[in-house]
Amino acid sequence: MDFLKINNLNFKYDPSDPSDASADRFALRNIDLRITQGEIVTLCGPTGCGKSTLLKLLKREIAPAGELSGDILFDGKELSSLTAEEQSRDIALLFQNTEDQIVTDKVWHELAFGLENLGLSQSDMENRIAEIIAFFRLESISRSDTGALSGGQKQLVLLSSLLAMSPKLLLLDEPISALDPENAETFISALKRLHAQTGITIIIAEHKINYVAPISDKMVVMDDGRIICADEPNIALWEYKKLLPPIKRESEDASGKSDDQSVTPPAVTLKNVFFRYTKKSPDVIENLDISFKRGKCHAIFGCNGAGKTSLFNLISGLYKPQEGKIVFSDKKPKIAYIPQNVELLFIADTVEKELADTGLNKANYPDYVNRLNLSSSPFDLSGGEKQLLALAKISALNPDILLMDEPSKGMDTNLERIMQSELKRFTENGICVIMSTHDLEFAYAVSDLCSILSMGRLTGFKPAEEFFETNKLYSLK
Amino acid sequence: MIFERYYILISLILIAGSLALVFARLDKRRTGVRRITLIAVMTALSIVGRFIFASLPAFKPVSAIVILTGVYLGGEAGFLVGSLSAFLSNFYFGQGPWTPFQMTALGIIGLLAGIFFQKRSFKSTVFRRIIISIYAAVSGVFYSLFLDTWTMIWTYGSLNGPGYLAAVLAAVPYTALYVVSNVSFFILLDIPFGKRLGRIITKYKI
Amino acid sequence: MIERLHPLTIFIYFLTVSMLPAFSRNPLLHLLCLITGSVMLFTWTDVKNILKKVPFFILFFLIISLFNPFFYHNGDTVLFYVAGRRFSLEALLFGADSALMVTGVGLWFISLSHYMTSDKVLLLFGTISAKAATIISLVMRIIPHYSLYIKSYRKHQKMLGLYGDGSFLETVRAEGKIFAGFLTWSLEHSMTTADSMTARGYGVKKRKSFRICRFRSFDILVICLSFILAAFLGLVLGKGYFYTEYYPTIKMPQQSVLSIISEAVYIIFSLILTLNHFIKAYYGFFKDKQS
Repeated sequence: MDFLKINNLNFKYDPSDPSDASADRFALRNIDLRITQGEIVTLCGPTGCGKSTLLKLLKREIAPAGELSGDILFDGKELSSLTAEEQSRDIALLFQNTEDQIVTDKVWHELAFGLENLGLSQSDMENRIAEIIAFFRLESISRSDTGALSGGQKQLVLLSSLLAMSPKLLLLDEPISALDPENAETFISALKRLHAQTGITIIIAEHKINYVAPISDKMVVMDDGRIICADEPNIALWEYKKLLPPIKRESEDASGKSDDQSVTPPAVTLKNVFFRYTKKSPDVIENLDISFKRGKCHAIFGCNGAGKTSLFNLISGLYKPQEGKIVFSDKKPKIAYIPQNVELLFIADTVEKELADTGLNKANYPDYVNRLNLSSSPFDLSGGEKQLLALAKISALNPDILLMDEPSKGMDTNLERIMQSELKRFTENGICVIMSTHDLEFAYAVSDLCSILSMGRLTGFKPAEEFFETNKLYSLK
Repeated sequence: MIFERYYILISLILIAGSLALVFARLDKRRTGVRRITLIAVMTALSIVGRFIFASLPAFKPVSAIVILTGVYLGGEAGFLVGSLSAFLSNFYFGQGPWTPFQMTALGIIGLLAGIFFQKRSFKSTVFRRIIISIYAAVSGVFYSLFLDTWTMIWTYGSLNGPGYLAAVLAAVPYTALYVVSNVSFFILLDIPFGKRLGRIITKYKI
Repeated sequence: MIERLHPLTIFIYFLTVSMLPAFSRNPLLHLLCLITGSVMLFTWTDVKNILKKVPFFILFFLIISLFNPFFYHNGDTVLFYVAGRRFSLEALLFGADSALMVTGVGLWFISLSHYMTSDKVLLLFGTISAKAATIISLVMRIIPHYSLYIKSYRKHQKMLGLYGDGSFLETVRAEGKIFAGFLTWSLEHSMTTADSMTARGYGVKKRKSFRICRFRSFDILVICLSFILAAFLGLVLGKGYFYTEYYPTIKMPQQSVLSIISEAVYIIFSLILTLNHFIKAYYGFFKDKQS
């Protein structure tokens, strides 16, 4: 028997619903889906295809308001006939935004939160918490403050706190989009171990299919509210790639090739820079000697804590180096910085005011702004749309140097392509773009020069093609 | 014969006991989860506000935020934000026997703001703002008097004589600063809070 | 180890030991309270930190002591006249005694705040009101998150040119916008927190608090002893064994067997939890010397 059966599901957002970006359109159309117990199913598709909506509809308590038709059978029962307690116990949902889901200030308390709500006895709670701590190896952080954890740890703690309630169905909404490769791998391997041990049914909505495809039994490709393919991963992947072709590096024309990099003038040069945050802490940037060229897109790789943020803080002037010099070739260069969390750039009530804030009006909007609902609050936009808004705001500033921290985070390839063409426009205008990223494919597609930051220093910049050819680990395949 | 400073004992028992009773009573009421998180946000904001202005004596947005909570989210929320922000911020600014009194004073300010002024629409009329500004001023005087009175009882064991009057008079500049900060923070914060809280409350049907 | 005690034990013990002398007007008891309170400080902080606070406490002490004689003039031993009003020794000493008491209790409360960590507070509050406990845990979680966010928010908005030329007016305007933006951000995100709580079953049943601390027999012992001390000392205080008269002249109570016993009991009980710490420190010192 099917564990989860969705029959001819249609859904249209309530026009007054806050999470609605596109009123008067069916967010989901004729969804038919059957999932057997113990399967891992991946939902994928471009931003706005309805995969998040589908997940939320499976969790009634937080389901968005709107017109719903069709039925959802969970474990043989109509989903809406489940009691509130069964709902919250049997179906667990991990939302997109990790930070906001944390409720308590201590890890152990976060793990206990759901159990407290279910009114379990003290000994039952102790048992479940001990089990989950042991299984996910959270011992060393069990007494820590939740605020002190890394992004990956937070995600794992939240997952554990859901699993402590022993759900039958686990729904994950873009669980690894915001994680760096290291944490993404940890998370995936935790899921794998969990599945091997408990055989729990898991539905994942995710952009980063490279991570989730290997552990999926089934992949569901969605577009515009419809399921276009639900099949084994290798077949569905092919459909997915047809729908969202991976971005390609634009073939370099002759003029680009002949462009000798020593000729291009530097926009900023760091001369023997040393930097540490406090007197007693170790150097984060150590004798860094490098220059960033005008009109080039620089990609910087490196693991977490290698000092990418510190480097950006130094270039943007938020911190001063203790030794060495940072020399700009322009007298007063305009420096713009797009942080990982682009919400830091928002200050107005609506998208339109947000754009007006940096001097953009309807006449000079970049064309991708048309994808955004101008009258909605910047916070109502999806993750990728927020990135576009940030990009539009920044580009209006006409910076000389643009710093970007993980620009491709949470973006699907459609949005990445917009980002690619925008970056191209920037570099053609002589802007020096410096981005830190973990996303090798994206970096290969958009960057001119690549380097790795490690032990406080950058390896010399190499042209992207050469970089990916000569490196053994940092290469595409 | 009873020991000398029994007013302290009595006042402490009365205040702590009634606080505990109110908290226990509030627990019986069902409060929506979104309302709970909003209360937490407002409490955190008032504590962070107390931090930001820590170097200026008496010039704090705490009471103003408590009043705004009462006005927009009702008396229960006002009481909780008032009492909990007094309690929690004292973990950074120093706990003492005065904690239950601060909790009570701020809690009452929030509660009454809710009872008198809770509004359904989020457009502020000038008249309404003036009335609430007066309330904010009065609550500044109340807070200051309430705590001065207790400090006097606590320190010297009684209120008799000119000492109390002198203490109250000595606190006049402080009280005045309180009143000024309450009113000015209320006026400054009313519109942004009203707009944003109003948006959230209607959008999420709280 | 005080931090290993149950929060309720810590709460009751500290309140008993610090507040009992406060209900009397006896300088000796207040002095004892001050001394044991300072000893308690040494269980968790070092001399350097304590010395840093000394000037503040001295100032505090002086203000409270001197305030009294300026406004109460009913002592017999006149030291001098201020604007035609008597400044009496009795009133000064009364003030000093009050200062002694307030300082002593203050010291005990500093230690109490140290030992009552957030999870302990939560546990105590949870027994009175689950709702308040939930709010407290949310607030504790949010505050550090907010402080970090607002810092980088300022930074990034500054880079976007929000602060303009940095003039006073521009800065005020910018701070206002920062606050409004921050408010929007915090309110919006709190709704996701609410959803996450609902999704994890908040409100479906009567909530139970998970208790991370458990009562030991030692906790029960300390609580019982606290109650016994409170009852005993309360009785002795009520009987007037510690009754001190300040006006018109100072009349200290006669030391009696009962009052000496009470003082001894108070000293022992208020130091009992620090003993462990100092014995360990002492032995540690000797071990280091021998090796």
